[in-house]
Amino acid sequence: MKNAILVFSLYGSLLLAIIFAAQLGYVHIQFREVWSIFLSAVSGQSPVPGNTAAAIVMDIRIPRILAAVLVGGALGVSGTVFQALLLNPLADPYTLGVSSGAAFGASLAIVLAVLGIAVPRFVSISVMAFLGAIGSLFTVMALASGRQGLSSTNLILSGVIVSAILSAAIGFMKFLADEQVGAIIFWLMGSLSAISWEQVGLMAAVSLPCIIVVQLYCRELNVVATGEKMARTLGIDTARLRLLLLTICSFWTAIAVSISGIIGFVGLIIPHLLRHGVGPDNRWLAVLSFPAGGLLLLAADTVTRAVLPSEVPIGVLTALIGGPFFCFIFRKHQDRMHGGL
Amino acid sequence: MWQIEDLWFRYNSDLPWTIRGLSLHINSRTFTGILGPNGCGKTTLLDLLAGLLKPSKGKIVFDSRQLESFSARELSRYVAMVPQDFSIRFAFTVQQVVEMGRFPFISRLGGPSREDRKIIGQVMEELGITHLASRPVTMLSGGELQRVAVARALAQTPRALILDEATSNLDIFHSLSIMSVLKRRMEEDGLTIVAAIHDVNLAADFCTDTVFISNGRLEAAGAKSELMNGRIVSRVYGVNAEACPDAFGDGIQISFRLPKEDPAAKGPTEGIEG
Repeated sequence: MKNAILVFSLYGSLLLAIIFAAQLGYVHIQFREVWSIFLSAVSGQSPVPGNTAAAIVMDIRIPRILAAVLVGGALGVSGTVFQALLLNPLADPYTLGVSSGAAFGASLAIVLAVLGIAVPRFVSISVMAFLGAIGSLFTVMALASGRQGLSSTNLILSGVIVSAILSAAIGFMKFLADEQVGAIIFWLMGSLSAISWEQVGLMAAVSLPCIIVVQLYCRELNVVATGEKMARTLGIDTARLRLLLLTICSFWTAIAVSISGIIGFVGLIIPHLLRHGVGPDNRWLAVLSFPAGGLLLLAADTVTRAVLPSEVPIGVLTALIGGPFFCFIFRKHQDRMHGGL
Repeated sequence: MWQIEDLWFRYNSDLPWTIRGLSLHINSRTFTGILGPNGCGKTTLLDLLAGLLKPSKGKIVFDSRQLESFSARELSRYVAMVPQDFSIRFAFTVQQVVEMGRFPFISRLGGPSREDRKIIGQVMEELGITHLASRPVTMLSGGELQRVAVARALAQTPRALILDEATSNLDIFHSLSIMSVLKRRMEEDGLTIVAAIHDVNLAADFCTDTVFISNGRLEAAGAKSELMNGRIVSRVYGVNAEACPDAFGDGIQISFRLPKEDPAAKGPTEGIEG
């Protein structure tokens, strides 16, 4: 019952946060006006020409707000899945090298542009980031697959190795970019400015099936989180489950990263925060981590977009907002739980 | 229940054989103790019996069917296991963990039925953990955790139960109480139990059958009354062992000494062969 109330209140707060965030920005737009813009957009009325408020809300703020929610939600849910499947509280959606792969792809695209090397038009930073993330994911999977299937230690270690190699390569890209190195650094720290409706649509279309699959496998996730051998004697093909869920969540994260850049910390702390509140049952965690991740990222993005005098990379803010709160909860929980998760 | 014929197993083709040509029958409604020195292949044998590993050569038949022909899900309705290492990092409650034993019987979208709840309640009471139901497993003592592990395996309502050193970290009281629960399950419900046991005297107390393994080979197998003697224990473990009636007069007690000459060089049989 307590958990059901939490689900409603989190989704409710997310909705309120979306409306609230749409009011804030360089131009302050009243709640009533935002609401009527919403209603007319939802009912399919074409906007009145020359209505700047409607253009600001529907073309600039809402896509960015929805992107923050969808990317944050993706990172939150993926983080939950990664920590349960890899039996590791330090795991996050980037454990299998998705972020370093994306970073490499993006910096390669930036460097090619800086050096004036012509590339086909479709090879944008986002596309290169996505290809880098997927390439890195498959390399890690191939490296970790051994006789005993994908063991969590092998996966984590392979992820660390591939990321280490890629970060050296990214360092080299930064060196090559010379004075343009700022573009790479800015991308690496993540940003949700200049998000298009197409990108929001893509993210939403990917999120829905991913959430459904994760939700369907939550019972298995619970059993796997209590130990590999136990799960296998209860009839779960742990190697297949890992391959399926890790691939799906990494793919989902790769899409998220390709549109937002690398936003750290959300995927790591959201599952921890929620576990302190509702316990380790993944059936609840998966439902809750989407709105929780969305809220955190939306809060961080709104602060950087509307509150601060100039935009700060969002990855920095998620850590600055989420970090201290996490430290507080973690400390409190440690005393209560004897170090258990 | 299990017929094992000329079973060979190694983890990797570069590694030496862990199980070497082992043939064995484990009858249903027995409590079989698997005994042998550290590293003799007990855990590997149990993993093979549970279908977690596939034989490299030879075959295992479970209930007149090749073990490999069972799907993991199907086998989980017949065989349950209490693994050696039962540590859980996430703070699931005792009730949640025991309920996971019903996993193979609950559909993907459904919850536990009334029958499932009844079984869960019964096993928790049997193991004396009802009062811990809402306690996180991360806050339990070793003895409590072990009882949760056994409760979870029994909640699976298995026909056969495999235990890997399930009582080795427990004090005398908790070891004896878990073993008594298991023995009663065997006698009353016809549960077949296979347990790797370190404590020879505990095996002598509770098992009906014993299997001695050393260096992946079968040393001896049969009814406990025939095998629990000083000669076999001496040979398998590389010690001087003597059996005598125990102080209660209804069992046997085995006492050990290190052999007098150069004990370090001798050790159990695997040391001599290897």
